[in-house]
Amino acid sequence: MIKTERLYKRYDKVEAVKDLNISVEPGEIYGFLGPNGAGKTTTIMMILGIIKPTSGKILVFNKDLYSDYFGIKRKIGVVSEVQYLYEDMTAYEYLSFFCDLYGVKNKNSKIEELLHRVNLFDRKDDLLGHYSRGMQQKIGFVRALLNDPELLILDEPVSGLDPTGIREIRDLILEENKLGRTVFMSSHILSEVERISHRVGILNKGRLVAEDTMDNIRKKLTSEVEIELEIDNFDVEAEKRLEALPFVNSVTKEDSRYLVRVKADRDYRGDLVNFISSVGGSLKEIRRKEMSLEDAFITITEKNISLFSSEEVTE
Amino acid sequence: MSYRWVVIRSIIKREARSSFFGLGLYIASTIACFVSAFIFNSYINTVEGNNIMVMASPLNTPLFYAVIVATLYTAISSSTALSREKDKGTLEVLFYGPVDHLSVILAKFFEDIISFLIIMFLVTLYFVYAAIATNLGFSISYLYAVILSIFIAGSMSSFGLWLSSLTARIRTSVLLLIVIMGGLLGLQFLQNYILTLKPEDLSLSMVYVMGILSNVLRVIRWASPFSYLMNGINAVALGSTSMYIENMLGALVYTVILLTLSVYTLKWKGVRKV
Repeated sequence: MIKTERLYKRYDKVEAVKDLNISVEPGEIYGFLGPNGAGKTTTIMMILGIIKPTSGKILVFNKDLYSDYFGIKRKIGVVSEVQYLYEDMTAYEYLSFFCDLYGVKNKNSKIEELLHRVNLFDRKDDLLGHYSRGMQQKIGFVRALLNDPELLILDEPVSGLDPTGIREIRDLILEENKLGRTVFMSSHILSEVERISHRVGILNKGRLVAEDTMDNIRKKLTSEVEIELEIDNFDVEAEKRLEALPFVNSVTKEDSRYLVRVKADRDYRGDLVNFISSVGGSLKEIRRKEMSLEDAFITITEKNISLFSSEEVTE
Repeated sequence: MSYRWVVIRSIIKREARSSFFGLGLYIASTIACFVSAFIFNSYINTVEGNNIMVMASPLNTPLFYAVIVATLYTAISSSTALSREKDKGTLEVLFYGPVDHLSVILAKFFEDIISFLIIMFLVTLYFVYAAIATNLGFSISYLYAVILSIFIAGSMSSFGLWLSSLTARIRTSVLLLIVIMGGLLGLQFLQNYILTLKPEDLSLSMVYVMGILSNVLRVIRWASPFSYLMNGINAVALGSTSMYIENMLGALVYTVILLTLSVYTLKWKGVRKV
């Protein structure tokens, strides 16, 4: 859907994007992450042809944007962090204008259907200047969906929204993805990205330092996994045998709860359950402590690690 | 219909709606009618005083002033057309969709021409009323002047759009327009002043300045849209067909060049809110 090859953007002496190679596959939700100033919006603007790259190649639907500019743009829907609406227009007039721009047929029914979905149908004749931030964000989504896009590009779509607004937008993204739309989403709300993305790309200082599924990123970042166990009938001898297991790195005990650090090369929960059973222990709870996207993000960006080279990035 | 024309038509519709429900168009029309009324009034006073007034095309002078007002409105409106949208961020949003630089520039240009035609229509309505009320007759030169004024409005609009593509703030565009207009008028006044001096009073340095000024004005003759306005007025007043056609073609070529320049300037400066 989107492919960039050796993409660079330089502003005077500042390299906003460096050697960026990303690939967004059809049907997936791709989370595009990075701290402020990492180059996410610049990348999105280059994909949309709004900013010209210094060098490199961008393919959208396997084509250069300018080989079929209008055709490609008609298949994309875009939502940005701030909507910049024509505040002198009503929601209906605004959406009608964008329907005309995209050449949408049956525009009245399309607008009504989408406004109903975001619960704004009753406000369709209100001026957009009177809309709240959350309502404006929803209108931005409706605008992006008017042309039934195959690709949705979302730049910080839930930024500044309250929890209800975030949930509504998240549900909307998931619904649209289920309908087969590919979603390319940049966000700094990591919990949202983690919850809905199939794959993530992490950009740091203009360079892509990780691109994979969350599970694979966790595996690459951690040499051990923490497993919490609550066990009854587990004596000192059993504890010693637990510590001696070849895949166990360390064991910490607090009352009947054990924190076992195991190697990250595979899932050892089954082995632990079998072991506890074999020594007569009674397992009440077992829980694998996952590295969150936030932990991974902080590890990668603060230490400036690249998961492509498994080394720290040198500037 | 090609995708680009669908886009251009949609933007024109939106812009025309905005102009139609805005005040600018009606303020410009009112000022144009007031200025013309003032001149009509001076005609009536002349007839009252002398019992006679001899003039080939009496409607032309008030029309010229009305055209000046209408084209100035076009210049101001076009000079803020892009910068206003950049300033508000709405231009960037248009470019998320199937909108390119050429379609935006052409849409804004055509909308300016439509607004100009609306003003000229309202002015003509007033002129019909004034002609009936004063018994001053229409001549064919009125039609010629109106047709030529559309080309002049085109050159004004393209000039304003180019200024607008250079800037990202409404205030900057308006200031730039005022500075350029002031500069051009200043040069014109300077030349007129020097021409009033007797040759024997001219110092060597004044002759040198005069030479430079003459060359600058020769360039401005082709580079300033205000020149097309003044030359157009002269062409109709003198009834010179060759001047008329030359001015019309000159304005057309100027418009095409400035619109092309606007497209490239907009690409260079970008469409994002700064």
